[in-house]
Amino acid sequence: MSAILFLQLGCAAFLEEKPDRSLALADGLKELQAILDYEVGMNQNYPAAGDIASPYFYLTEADWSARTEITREIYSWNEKADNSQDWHNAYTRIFYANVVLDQIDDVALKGRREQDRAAIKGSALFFRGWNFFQLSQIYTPPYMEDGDGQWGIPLRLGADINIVTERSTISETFNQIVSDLTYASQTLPEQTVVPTRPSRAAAYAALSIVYLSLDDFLIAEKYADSCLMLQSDLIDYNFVDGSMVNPFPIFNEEVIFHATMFGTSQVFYRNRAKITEELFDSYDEADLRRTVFYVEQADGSFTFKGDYSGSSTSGLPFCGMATDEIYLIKAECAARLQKNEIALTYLNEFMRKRYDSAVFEVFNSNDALEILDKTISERRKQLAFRGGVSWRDLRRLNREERYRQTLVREIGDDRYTLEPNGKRYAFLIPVSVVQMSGIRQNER
Amino acid sequence: MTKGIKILGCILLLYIPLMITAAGSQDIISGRVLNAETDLPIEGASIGVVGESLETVTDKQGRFSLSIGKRESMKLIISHISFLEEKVEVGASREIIIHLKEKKSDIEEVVVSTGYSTARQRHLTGSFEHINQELFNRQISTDVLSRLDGIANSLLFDKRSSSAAPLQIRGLSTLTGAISRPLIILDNFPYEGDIENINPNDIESVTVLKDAAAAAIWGARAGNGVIVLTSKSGVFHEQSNVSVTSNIGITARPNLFYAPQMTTSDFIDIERFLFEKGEYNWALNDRTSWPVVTPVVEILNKEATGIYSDTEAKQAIDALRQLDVRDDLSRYLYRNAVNQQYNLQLSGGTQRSHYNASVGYDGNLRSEVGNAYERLSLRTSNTYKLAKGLDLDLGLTYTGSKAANNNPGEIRTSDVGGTLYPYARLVDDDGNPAILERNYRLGFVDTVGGGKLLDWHYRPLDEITASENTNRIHDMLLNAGVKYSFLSFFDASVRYQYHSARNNGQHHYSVDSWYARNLINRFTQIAGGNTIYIVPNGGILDESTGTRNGHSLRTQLNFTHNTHKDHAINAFMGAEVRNRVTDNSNSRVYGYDERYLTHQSVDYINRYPIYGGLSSNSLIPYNAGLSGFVNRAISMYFNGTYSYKDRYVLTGSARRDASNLFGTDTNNKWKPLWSLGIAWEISNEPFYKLDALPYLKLRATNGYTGNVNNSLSALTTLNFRSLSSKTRLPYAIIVNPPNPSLRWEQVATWNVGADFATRNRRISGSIEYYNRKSTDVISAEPADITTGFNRLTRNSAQLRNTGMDINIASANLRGAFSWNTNVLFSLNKTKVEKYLVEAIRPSSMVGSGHTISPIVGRGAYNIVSYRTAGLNPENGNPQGYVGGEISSDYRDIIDNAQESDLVFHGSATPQKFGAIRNTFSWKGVSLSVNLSYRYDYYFRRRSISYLGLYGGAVGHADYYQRWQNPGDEMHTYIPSAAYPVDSRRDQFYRDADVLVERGDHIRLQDINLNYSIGNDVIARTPFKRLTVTGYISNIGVIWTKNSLNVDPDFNEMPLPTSYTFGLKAEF
Repeated sequence: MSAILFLQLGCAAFLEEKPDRSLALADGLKELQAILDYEVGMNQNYPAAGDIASPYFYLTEADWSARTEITREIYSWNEKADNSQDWHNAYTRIFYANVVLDQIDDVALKGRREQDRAAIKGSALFFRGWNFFQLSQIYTPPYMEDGDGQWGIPLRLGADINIVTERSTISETFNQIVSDLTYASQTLPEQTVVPTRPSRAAAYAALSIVYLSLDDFLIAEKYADSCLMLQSDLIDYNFVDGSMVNPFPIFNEEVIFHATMFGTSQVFYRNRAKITEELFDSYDEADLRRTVFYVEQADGSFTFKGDYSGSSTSGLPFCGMATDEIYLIKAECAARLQKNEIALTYLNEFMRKRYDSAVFEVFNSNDALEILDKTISERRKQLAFRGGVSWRDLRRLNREERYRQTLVREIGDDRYTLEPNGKRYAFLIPVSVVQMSGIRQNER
Repeated sequence: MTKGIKILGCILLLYIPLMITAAGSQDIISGRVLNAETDLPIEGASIGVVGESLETVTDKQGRFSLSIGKRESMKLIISHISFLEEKVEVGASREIIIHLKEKKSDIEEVVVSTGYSTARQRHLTGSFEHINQELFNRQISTDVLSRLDGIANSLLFDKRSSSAAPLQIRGLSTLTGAISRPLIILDNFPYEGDIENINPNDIESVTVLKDAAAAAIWGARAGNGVIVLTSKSGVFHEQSNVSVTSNIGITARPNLFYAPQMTTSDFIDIERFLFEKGEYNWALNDRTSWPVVTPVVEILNKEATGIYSDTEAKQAIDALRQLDVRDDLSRYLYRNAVNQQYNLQLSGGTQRSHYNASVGYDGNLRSEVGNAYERLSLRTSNTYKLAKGLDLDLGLTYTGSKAANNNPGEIRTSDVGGTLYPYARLVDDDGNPAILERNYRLGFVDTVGGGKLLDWHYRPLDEITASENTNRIHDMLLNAGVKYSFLSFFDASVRYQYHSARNNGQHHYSVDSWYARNLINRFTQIAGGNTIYIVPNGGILDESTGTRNGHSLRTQLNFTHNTHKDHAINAFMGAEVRNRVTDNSNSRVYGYDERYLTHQSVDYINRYPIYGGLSSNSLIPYNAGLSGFVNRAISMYFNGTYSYKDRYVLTGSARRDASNLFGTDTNNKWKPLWSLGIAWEISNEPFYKLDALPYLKLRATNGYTGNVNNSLSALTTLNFRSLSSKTRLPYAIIVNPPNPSLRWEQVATWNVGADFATRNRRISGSIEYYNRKSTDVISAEPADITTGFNRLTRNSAQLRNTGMDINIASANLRGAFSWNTNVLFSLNKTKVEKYLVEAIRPSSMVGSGHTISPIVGRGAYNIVSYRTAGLNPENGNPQGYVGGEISSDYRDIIDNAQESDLVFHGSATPQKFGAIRNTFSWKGVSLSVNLSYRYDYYFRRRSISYLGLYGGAVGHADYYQRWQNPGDEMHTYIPSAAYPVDSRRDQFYRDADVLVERGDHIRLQDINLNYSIGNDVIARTPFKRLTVTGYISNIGVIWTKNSLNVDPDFNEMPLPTSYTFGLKAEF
């Protein structure tokens, strides 16, 4: 029976062995970095509902009929559309970020440097802040100046699954977004090995986009500047082969942060989503984007192939940030702040690389409003199929008489409309979340 | 297999000296058998020679004579159903008189094995089910477990393809499918290998441990019950015995036409309808990725674009209307399965040693053309008496198997989805393998590349030979044990087991396979006149290797004291340590040439354009991975039995287990479990005078077992993965959120039972009642998705299984013509007593009972439906209820239906089941017919799904009974065809009460007819015994309660009947 004695003594060490060698605890920088490098979770499956509800494209009746109910309802702005997938995907990323944030200050360096710790913390904060912002654009009503009583989204700031879900106010939501992204912008490295990892430029770009959505053009411009200081490459479309099926490779030089959209019911799969005639006609003949971005289908419609995700056929549009958007934010903010010279410089530098250089003429104007109109129009043309942008622009521009639009969709004999600033600009909080947590549902 | 043949050679050499034994003079022995008390002759006593199959029976005068061959001495064994067995040593005398004592009680003395010890049934208090060899071999199969179906009480084989727990003993003790399997013990240690590796011909007996007193000795993994397999071994003083078995079975090809479906012609009309709606325009217009469209859509498109006239189109389509792809599938991809099984057993023993050796070969041609299975098993087991009190046993088993899986399986027109259309053909008019669409439209594939690419066509029938997918397993099990007896009461033993298994999977896609050609073509670049292969123009070889090495060591001290006339004590204690390491790896090479084993390197780093812009620039698929698992466990145990005057038996056991769970303090890994049991053999009491029931034993037990779930952890656990497909960086996913209160599941079981036998064991059996409560049951509960999880796995439920097992054997007729009946009856009700999650949305309970979905106050597998209110007379929409009000707002029904708007039918698994086996014997012929029955459960049948139909899948034949005109609602509940498809309407109908049927049925499980050639004939042959067997299984249901007359256990496609012919010869 000495064996028993031996076992008693030796068993503690014997039982320490991991049952699965690929298992790990979140207890080192390498492990925390690996969590954030989960590209499928952290960089794919960004919200799709806003784009499905956006007016830059349409589906044929047959294609619409073949989509799932929820997709059909989102597309036709049905007030009962229960979009839970975007919520689940974004909060899963927030959970991952929180796991990292809960541990980051305590883990041992294990041969890595304090700089790495700071970079990983910044990265996690970026993912959390950026995803809170994504959620805010889908699930809260458009931000109004006097919106103190407005409800924001639940702000989960720890990985503990027992934390009860509560809705914050809209200002709490935006304070958190800004705080996470600002911290990130201070600790992220200027460059990363691959744009699925956020860089400092990505944090600045994100802040610029957030402040633009709040109509805070001064700060939005400041962050656009900070971003462009670090990354300002623009692809000259004069050198892009417009005959290619995929003119832009993945991780191209304009990409600041790579992310793609959730493939809800394959709405954007292959040639299903067609650009509206009105939008297509707004590209003039010298505009290279007519051929670089679009391909004509057998039925005479045009579909988008200029996706920055690297694959225009996968149905998972690019949903990240790129320098083209930041140029346009810079130009717009400058125009709104009456800095016409600066606005024109950025706008022309951008347009020069989008129009046929043989016939391109520099745009000139003394009228800030005209410059703004031109910038907004370029925004629509450049960022039409860019995930998230169109819906965010609708929400903010509807606040201005000049750009306000009532959306109309016709399917067969049915006609659907979405009036500016309507309650349906905030999707329902997923019904299951309301049932389980008892949080307040969006108004209808 | 060459390795196997070498081992076989060695084994045979080893045994040849032992086999040559018999020698002496030819002789006849005769005598009389008399009642020891009355001296009256005993008729029908059987006389045999120990270790041989020579046998005869006494006549009316109790006389017998037996031809015994040439020999000096031997041992006779004399037995009779009503008398105690007697063994007599016979020397020179050739005329003897034997006296037999009448049996006082009618106990059937069976010795059962728990894997730690063997015990006489008399000293057991718990619930054991023993299956002896004769019963086990009544069924013929390649594997071990399926032989228990219909013969072992309370074992439920859940044959639904979706089943999470395919084998249950007394219901579910856990809610996690992966840990619901009973623990399987082979020769004293848990068997961790593939159960298919065990050759059933090597199994001597099977014991099923059902309650705590039986199973608690196996501790933390015994919550689902234990199945103990005991291999054959030799016996001391046994003459060498050789037996050869051969079984050949044929199983009919599966009936693909069992599930009723729409005709091809009607399916084509649906396609035409959808074509007119423009449903295929997106695909027809896609000139970049060329998605597949079906031939009918191509024809309609040609008609629409003027290439075909209306008449041409009609003719072309009409030619397709008569086809049914199931004809071709049945003819070219399926066949009658043929199973062959051969087995050679040698056994024998001397005074100081005994041995058993076997060689088995199974060769199965599966019913899917291209699939086959072969298994070679070699086994030896030896026991030696090394010195007085010191025994050594050694056992070695090798199993080598090879499975080929070259059948293309379900044929699809795309790698993702792409349901096959019903007018597809596998063979063209000339009898050659036909081309089918795959991933790309035929029009594209026909002309692409201008001859510079590999042929891009897909011919499913060619795929059977174009790729070779095999899996080989080498499994070796080494057992060694030393037992030393001392001080007359004690023996100490050390047992060791080494289990080594290696499996090697190879999937070779030759350059002729569609997979290889497609991948090569996609990456091919044509520059000028040159063809550049980015993926080398050659085969692709995927290999996977897994090795498993397990060591188990046990030390045990036994104390046995049973010589006293009143008191008997039997106790043992021991400790056990187990360590199992599993390593897996997989890899791929491109440009593989099997003749020279050459291959080529590829660039995994850069993205390359895909031919014709079919998709964006891509990386060459990289297929390599490594994984490793370590399972460690330490156990300590004690077991004791005390019996007084063979009337009162007290048993107790205790055990502690620990294993290397991840992310838990070692202290929390220990789990103490125990059991207590008592038995009272009331018929042994002096006051017991019930002559009609000469044997009656009452017993009761209580105790704890557990279930270990290794997949969970108390801390946030990451799982590292090697390469992200986009960034090529290593990454980690979070397996589970932190769960500091994670505990092992505990199972407490009460069992009370009675064993009885009437006079002369006319009727004998047992009846048991149990109550098994599982606490801290881990279950995945729906979660607030804001946490980042839609399900959280926690110790959240409490289950209670109550039930009854009744086992009755009746000897209806004895004598020359005998008739025995065995009745098995099991009752099991699983009830979820506590479930931390309230069903917030009652409709979340609705389902088909395919997955484990606990509902408080109900079972674990439930069938719950939407209550229907008939069809809407105006449009044929199905109607349900919301808050008692009739509604056709399916979203509202799904979101807001109350419990009263639902129908709770009941369990999806049978709550009453069992079998009735009748065995008739006359002379050497025996016929055994087993009827199994299952009662008290429900199943949901399939019906038409418009989502599926409009998505390209052939619909269910219910389509013809659908609502079409007002008034139809009076005689049908099948909704009208609605376009566009409302998937919630489909979902509502799929889950409607009208589609639920009772599962109750009676099945003719199997028939076994065997004939043993009579002793007078056999004496003139070199055989000791010769038996021929005919066996028919999967005969089908003979009665069902459901109105559709479908087999509830296989409602899509029942298992086809198999016919087996077997021959067994003993020398």
